[in-house]
Amino acid sequence: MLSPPQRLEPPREGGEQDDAAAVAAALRGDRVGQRALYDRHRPAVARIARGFAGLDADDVDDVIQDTFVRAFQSLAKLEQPARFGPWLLTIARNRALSRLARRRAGDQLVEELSREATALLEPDRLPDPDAEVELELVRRIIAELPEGAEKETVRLFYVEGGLSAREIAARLGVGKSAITMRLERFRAKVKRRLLAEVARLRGEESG
Amino acid sequence: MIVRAHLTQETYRRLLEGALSPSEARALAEHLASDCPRCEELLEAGGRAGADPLDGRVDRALSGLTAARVADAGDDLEFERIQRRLASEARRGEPEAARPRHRRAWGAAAAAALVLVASAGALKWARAPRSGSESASWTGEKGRARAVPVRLRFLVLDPAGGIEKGVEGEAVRAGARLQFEIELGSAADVALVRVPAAGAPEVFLRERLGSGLTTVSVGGRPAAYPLEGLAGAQRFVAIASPDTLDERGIDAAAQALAPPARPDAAALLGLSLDAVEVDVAGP
Repeated sequence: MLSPPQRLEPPREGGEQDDAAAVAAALRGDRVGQRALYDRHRPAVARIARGFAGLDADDVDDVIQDTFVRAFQSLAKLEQPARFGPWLLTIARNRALSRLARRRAGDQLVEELSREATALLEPDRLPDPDAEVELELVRRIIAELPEGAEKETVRLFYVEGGLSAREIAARLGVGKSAITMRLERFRAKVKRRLLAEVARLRGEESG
Repeated sequence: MIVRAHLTQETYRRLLEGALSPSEARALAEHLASDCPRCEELLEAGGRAGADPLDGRVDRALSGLTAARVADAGDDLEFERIQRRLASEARRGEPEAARPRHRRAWGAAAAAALVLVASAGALKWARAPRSGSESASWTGEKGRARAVPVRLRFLVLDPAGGIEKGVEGEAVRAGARLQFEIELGSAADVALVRVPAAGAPEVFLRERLGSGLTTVSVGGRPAAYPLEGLAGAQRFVAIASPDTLDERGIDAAAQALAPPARPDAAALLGLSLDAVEVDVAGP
């Protein structure tokens, strides 16, 4: 760096209350509400789709659009509007998995993932750890990863965030499936720790 | 039943449904607090079969690790496509089974429509449209031959917490902030300069950057330029050079870009430029 930048500040982000207000507006038929939800969450949806190395750029675009179409169609089923974010990301992951399954099956029609319908209809009954606590947990997990291929992949995809899984595979000179596998393994670690946190909160609910 | 062993699908399902007793949940929490490859394998396999609410939490946490990329921000055309599909499916009462894959062409059109070009006629830049972040066809070549291809893009961070893709020439609120991304074809010295309609240009970033996409950061964290205190047209220019970009060179280029900009200004020789302009509304 040649000299320190001036006037630059870290970004601020919208929260769950903003989502709740935007969901309420969208349910009233207010297009501005839908647009706010789309603008706020599109980057995270895109990130999920780009994490599947088996999907090409067109697939990623399709997954993004499908996700928002499904979500807006099903908005009335969302019992906790403040949890729009995680709910939408669940839909996005399912759309990506579904697209991948369809792709693997060539042009044959394959059944939609049965769990997707369940995810849309089922209320989220999990205790909700603070988002900051979750984020700190994830940072700790990454820090604890041993140096190696998995940590490098996680760093490139989740921490730097500029590359898709396909681009990471090309950069590291490994197969696409290897990258997908590393990201899935890492997500499973995060999931185990979050599950422990959720179970701990459930355990504190009574007795 | 007290869970003291590994996670099972049944236990997992009951936890998701809120049917696990507090004592079972505590035992499960205790078990999962330590490394357990077997439980992770079960979770990994479950994740491949389909996502559930816990996956949504995982993805929410992971998405918080880094700021949104400008390239991932939404745009008007995509939002309109979503609206059209919603309207179309509402009329038909069922989801579209299959749609033609025409997005690459649309994406190129969108990119072309959103191309951010300096309003100064003096800067005769050309760029090929591109579709998505993985396109290899974009050259971004501007200025003199052998200059570094450079592209400047930005997000508008609204005071209320909203994030929008920045659009050239649009009005933005005085309390908003701009988060910049710089894309380079090869490593270069880069300066970011604000050129107001009147007054002296302000150089607010000077850095040596590698090729590819870089979000402007401070101390490793994405940073944004506050528009507070500014009013009217504000032009932001990225100046790039494969060679050292010294103070004098930047100042000369900044002055050459200040209105009225002069075509073929000597100060711009050998430099690559890209600019965006916003109109800052009054408070």
